[in-house]
Amino acid sequence: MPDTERAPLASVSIVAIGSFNPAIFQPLWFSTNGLIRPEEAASATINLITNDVTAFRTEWFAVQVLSESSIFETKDPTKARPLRDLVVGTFTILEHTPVKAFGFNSQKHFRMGSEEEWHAFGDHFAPRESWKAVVSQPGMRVLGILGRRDGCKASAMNIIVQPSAPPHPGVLIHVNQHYDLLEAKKASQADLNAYLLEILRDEWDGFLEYCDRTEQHLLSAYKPKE
Amino acid sequence: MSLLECPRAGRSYLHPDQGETLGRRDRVVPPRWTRQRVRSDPSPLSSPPREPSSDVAITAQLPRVEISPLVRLWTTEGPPRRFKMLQQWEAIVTALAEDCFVVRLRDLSCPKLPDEVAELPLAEIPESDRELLAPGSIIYWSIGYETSEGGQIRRVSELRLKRRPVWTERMLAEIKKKAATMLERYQADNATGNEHAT
Repeated sequence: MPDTERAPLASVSIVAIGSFNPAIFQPLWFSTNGLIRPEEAASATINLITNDVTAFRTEWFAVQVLSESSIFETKDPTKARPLRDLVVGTFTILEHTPVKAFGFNSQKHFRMGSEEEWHAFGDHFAPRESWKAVVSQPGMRVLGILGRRDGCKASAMNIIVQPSAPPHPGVLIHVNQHYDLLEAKKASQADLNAYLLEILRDEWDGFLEYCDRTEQHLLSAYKPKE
Repeated sequence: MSLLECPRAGRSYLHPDQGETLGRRDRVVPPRWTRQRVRSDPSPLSSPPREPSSDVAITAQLPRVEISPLVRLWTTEGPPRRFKMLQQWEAIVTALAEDCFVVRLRDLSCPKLPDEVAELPLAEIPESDRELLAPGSIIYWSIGYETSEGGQIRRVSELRLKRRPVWTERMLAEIKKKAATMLERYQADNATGNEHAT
């Protein structure tokens, strides 16, 4: 039997911080530039397009752009790479858009086998003993870990674990790979954007694999060794 | 809450949906004793198991209208696609025929596996993508089990052509400029090399 029940609810996103012109980011702009199909642009659900905010979604991705940030997200597990291509295409065309930082994000909700397993997971990563002196019935609400990843140009890795709702009992694992472009010390904005594109092309696949490894590790590390 | 006050507006790296539940709806709470299901935050891990009825509460409230922000900056409408990936390939088109095309497959699910060759029907490529199909095109091929909202499980094979931005005049001009610079450098190097040789 296929293990379809365990398919996690998942999303990945690419966030860029800088200075943007939200009004540009319209479905028609994406299709005119060949980044999405004309049918996808025509069937997009537009929440808002103004000079200050753009928010719309298509069958497989959603875009939100403010003057200082832009977010591209997909909740379709088959579209992680097309999402990267979309962002590469976007910033290839908008080559002079000032981007200061950007990040890759993965969020997955995993259903736990039982309520006991769910508690064991929390007890392992946030032992409650230290908390019993100050609160009764302590429980892990959110756990965040900041670190770096070997062999990766990212400035920081943020991993956040928290209970999931839904599914219950379940956990949400959020992995963020953050790049501070100002650290790259490039001479011009064009160089910074070229560096951004290089990172998107070279490190997105590695990020997806890293997320899988991290999730597998976290979902097995709490179990007692046999 | 106005648009500018929306806490999400300033969030940058954190995922837009973080910690929120899908499918939230605005609601008007009636001005009377109500027995309603309270959609609470997820319970903390490690806390004692909840009583079965703990998520049902008796509440007495004054007339209250929950006003949504003017603009939902990030909507989570619609559930994420429930798709259990069995295998995914990156396929490079090597040849085109009348009703099919040949691809070299690189396994993305297990990159250590050697490349394979396959023939795929053109009918599986959307009409609007067909004009872009040429030797060298890249296609993502995903096979997996999709679970519908109603629980129906289907085995799905999906092809998606990798789209690249349209070449603009400016981009072409820059590429030509770079090519000319490289050619000049190459010719200069060659000339230097010939001088050394003589």
